Amino acid sequence: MQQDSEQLQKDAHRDITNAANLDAIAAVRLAYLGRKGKLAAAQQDLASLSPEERKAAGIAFNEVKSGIERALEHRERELQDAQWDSIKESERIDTTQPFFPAREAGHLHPNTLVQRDLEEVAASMGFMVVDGPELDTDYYTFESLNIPKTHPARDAQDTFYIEGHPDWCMRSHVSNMQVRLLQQYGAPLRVAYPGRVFRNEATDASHEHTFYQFEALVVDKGLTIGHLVGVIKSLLRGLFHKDIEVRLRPGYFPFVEPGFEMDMSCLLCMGRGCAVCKRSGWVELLGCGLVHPRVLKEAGLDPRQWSGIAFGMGLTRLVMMRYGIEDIRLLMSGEERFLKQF
Amino acid sequence: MHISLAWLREYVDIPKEVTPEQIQRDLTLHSFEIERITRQGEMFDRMVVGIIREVKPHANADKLRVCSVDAGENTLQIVCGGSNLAVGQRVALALSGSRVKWHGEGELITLTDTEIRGVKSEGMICAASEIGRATGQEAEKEIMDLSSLKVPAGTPLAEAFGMNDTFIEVDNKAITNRPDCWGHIGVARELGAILGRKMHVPETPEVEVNKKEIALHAKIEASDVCRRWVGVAMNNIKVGPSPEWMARRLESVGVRPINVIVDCTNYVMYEMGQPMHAFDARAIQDSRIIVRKSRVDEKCVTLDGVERTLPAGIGVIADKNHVLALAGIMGCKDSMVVEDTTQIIIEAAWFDPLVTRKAATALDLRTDASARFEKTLDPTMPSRAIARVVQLILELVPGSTVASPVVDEGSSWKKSMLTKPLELHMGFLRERMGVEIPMARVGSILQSLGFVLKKTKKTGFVVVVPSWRATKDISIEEDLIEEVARMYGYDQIPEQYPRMSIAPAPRNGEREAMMRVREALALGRAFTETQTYSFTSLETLQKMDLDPSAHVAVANPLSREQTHLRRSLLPNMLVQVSQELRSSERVMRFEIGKNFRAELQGEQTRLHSGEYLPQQHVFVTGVVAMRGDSVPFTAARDAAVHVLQTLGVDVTLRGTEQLTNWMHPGRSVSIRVGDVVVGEVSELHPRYMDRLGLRDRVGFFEIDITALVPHITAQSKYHPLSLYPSVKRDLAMVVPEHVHYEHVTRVMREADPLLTHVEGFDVYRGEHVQTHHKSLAFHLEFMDVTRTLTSAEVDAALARITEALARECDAAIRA
Repeated sequence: MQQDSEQLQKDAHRDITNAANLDAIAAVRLAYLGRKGKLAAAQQDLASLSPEERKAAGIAFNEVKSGIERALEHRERELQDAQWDSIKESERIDTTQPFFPAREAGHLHPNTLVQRDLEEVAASMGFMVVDGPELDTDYYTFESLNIPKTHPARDAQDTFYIEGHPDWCMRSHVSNMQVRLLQQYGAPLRVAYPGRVFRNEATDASHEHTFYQFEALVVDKGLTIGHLVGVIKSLLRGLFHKDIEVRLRPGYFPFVEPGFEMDMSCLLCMGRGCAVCKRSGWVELLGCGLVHPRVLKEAGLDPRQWSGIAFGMGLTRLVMMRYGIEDIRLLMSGEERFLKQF
Repeated sequence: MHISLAWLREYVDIPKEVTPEQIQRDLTLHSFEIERITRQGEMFDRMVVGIIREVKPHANADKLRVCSVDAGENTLQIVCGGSNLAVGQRVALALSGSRVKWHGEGELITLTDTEIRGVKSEGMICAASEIGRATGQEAEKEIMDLSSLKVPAGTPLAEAFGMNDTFIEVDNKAITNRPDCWGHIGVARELGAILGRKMHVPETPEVEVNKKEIALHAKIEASDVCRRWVGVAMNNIKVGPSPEWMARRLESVGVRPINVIVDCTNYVMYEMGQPMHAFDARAIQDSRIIVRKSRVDEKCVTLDGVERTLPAGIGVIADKNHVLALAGIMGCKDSMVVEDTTQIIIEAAWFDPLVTRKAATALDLRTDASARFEKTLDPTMPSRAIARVVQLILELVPGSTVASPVVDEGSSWKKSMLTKPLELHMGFLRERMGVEIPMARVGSILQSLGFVLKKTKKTGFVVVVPSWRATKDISIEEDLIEEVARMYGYDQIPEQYPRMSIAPAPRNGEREAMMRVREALALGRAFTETQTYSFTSLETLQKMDLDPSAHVAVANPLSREQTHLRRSLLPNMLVQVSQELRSSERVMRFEIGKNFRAELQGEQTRLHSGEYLPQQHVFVTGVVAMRGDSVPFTAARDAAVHVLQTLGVDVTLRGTEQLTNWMHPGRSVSIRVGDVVVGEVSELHPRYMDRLGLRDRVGFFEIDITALVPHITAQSKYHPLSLYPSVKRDLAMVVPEHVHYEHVTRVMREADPLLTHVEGFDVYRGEHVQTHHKSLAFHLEFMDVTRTLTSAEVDAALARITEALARECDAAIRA
């Protein structure tokens, strides 16, 4: 009896090892563990033994059975894994082939992308983000900003005026919002206002009569030139995800005093000097300053009590800088080949 | 404006070690932007004076010679075809790396060492034309003979020509607020203050009359044009060319020398910034000058030779009968100083900036003079300018005399327009700058710029503003702070971070909605965002049958393309799309922007004015066109519904009576919130396809985002998930054409509460479907949140639905 089960075990292991594929192993399983298999037959033989013999033989039989089961499972897994190995070749495809027909995604205008970034940074710094009238009065666009009709700065502002309303114009800058916002919300105030502006000037690769600006205004107590630099640098850090070196130089805008131009270190050459920054290492970035006391007064605030910082930049110029767009006219062209790149 | 560094050095010592680049940087950082610096002799870089030591024939060319040329440090071999080569001759020697004009023609080319017919040549002996010095007298193939310049071999050519100056180009826009910097003295003062150097402006003696030969009179009749007129007469003038130094100096700042008298007036303008004019005294009847306004149809010929009919009411300088000059702009030909002029009257005046600018604009004539008067010049300057020009003329025209006392009309007015002394509080200075500056430093900065410290107190100064800054530029304490801060150095002010409230900023529903709409269309429906102008053209309005008078018109449009403001984004978008459809099979676009509607109320023109600007709501407009899609309405509707669902606005879409003429009468709906129309979805009326050159049908939607904002709900609605499975069935039916999809789905939903989801997936017309009917097919989903449905229950529900469909929609169920 003992010899029989040893023989059975040997035969089973041989057959299992020799099974070359999953079909063969299934046949082996059936031949040994099936209802009419060799183990079933051997189990029937146990019945003819004496109770004592049967107990010992039963234990031996169970060991043989579980040994065969384990060997079968092991071999099965081996054969299965071998099959997975082969799909590398049998199911190989061209992974460079795109989906047909091509699926189109939509596109946001590059101006929107940059504006959204600016708005998000400003909002995260506690700025309210708003817009206002594009057609506005001469009062909000100029007069209230310390730019009376006699002011030479009006020369530089080639403004579109409105037929039948000599005191209405298409805003030539988003600064038309300054006094309007202060009247509406009072002080203290932190607000940013990107928007569309208009200049009556001929169009070419670098000039458009319609473009976008981004301006921000903070009115609070005790604001200094140092604060102006700190706030702008924080915004730039948020926008460019790194510290940006800046420098202030005198600049003239009638609605700030003192007024500055701010340059930033050229991002292309890291300030070493290149064609883009005309070898100066600096790129003109924005105009800024402390809000002129006349503007604060116009907004009903006491300029001895309140102070303000304001800075404004060409959003369109930022878009062109970010993407290296060489012709400003493309932005309003509606060219599909242009719009689909963003 | 061009500034000559050599000229600046007359008024301020600039240490030798200060490079032009440093001056550029210093002025840019402390005063105003310097656009560029140019060295006068730049074109002569890598060119030296050479001395020919030997001339030998060229073995392979009859017309060429091989010269040995002493270049100072070494002797070079040069092949040259010059006809006048001679040993001992000084020549202009261009070394490799220099840039010359080949045979005097075309672009500059860079020289390199080369071989000419097998013989090495280490540079070039230049003809005058090759280095831009031709006079027109040169013979062909003649090289430039510099033997008259007694300089050693190797002397840089620029130095040999006396061209050592450097020019600074100031951006005129950067000095619109700085009338004082429109002359060299003003710029020198800035530079002196930056470098810590004292100014030395030459003293000008008072004008002394030699002999009262001319009875000069002046009368200001138009005091709004001219507030001060100063003049003097001179006799025994001989008009000839200016001396070399003055001609050169004027040329260096871009002014063409004319004659000694005109040049002297221009010299003073570029020195002090005061424009002046010299008249031939013969042209002025009785030597009586009148400053008045032009009359209707008055004519004159200006110095530029143009005959002009003057607009009425501009300022003129005249005598009894004639216009002599356009005030502050340009003189007239009849009264100009010419070769045989012997007596002159010189004018220096203060013309009103606004009046001058208006006149220059009306005449379309901008001059160096008008550009300066527009900036509000120092009203004390005219008398000093007269004294200075008299000094120059007496010096440069031997024998000339002063023939009248200085006439000074309106001089009493000047004080009233200057800024009164200002107080500067140290506390306020510190508060605005954010840094403490020692009081002594503040005082010395102000003094270096010409401010006078009238009183010094513990808390600050009383400051007298110099007249050249006191016209407008400096008028309040903040202006003084700027002066101190810019000279102290903005880079010396440490950056600070303000302490502020951390309360979140108020939200702006409109801007949030704009961004959500953009994302819904671009991400959810694959639309591409575009932008069009706010302006539109009469042509486009006419094409679309729009009434121009209902559109806000631009008073001064840039071109015929931009005469009116849009009331809808659609027309400009359609123009764009029609162009795009020439090359694209499919266009799906949207734009978000403002429309201008004057009959509706926008924001107030001014606080409490009670007057209103045109309404300027933000709209989103989408346009869809696809080749082969004969009903793009559906795609437009789908996009519009997606937008509205994204915003969570409860709207109804239904047919509208308020058709715009461009809307397709059978394919349009209005979008309503309650009873208020906030937009529409439509197809373009086919009549406009031809006019716009469209081959394909176009669907569009327009939604007034501003009007929607109050109805936007913040969040999506959540329903708990059922624990029990749903049962899915498909249902197809044929209904008459007039039965609407929405009606069918509503009937189904209302027929049985177990039906939780209805989704159409096919519409079919044609074979096997009778005419004026359509076949509709739906996926239906049944569910009960409390238990699993049995097949029998679903069948019963389906039976109720089909029964309702048959009854209310005249539907025949297809097996």
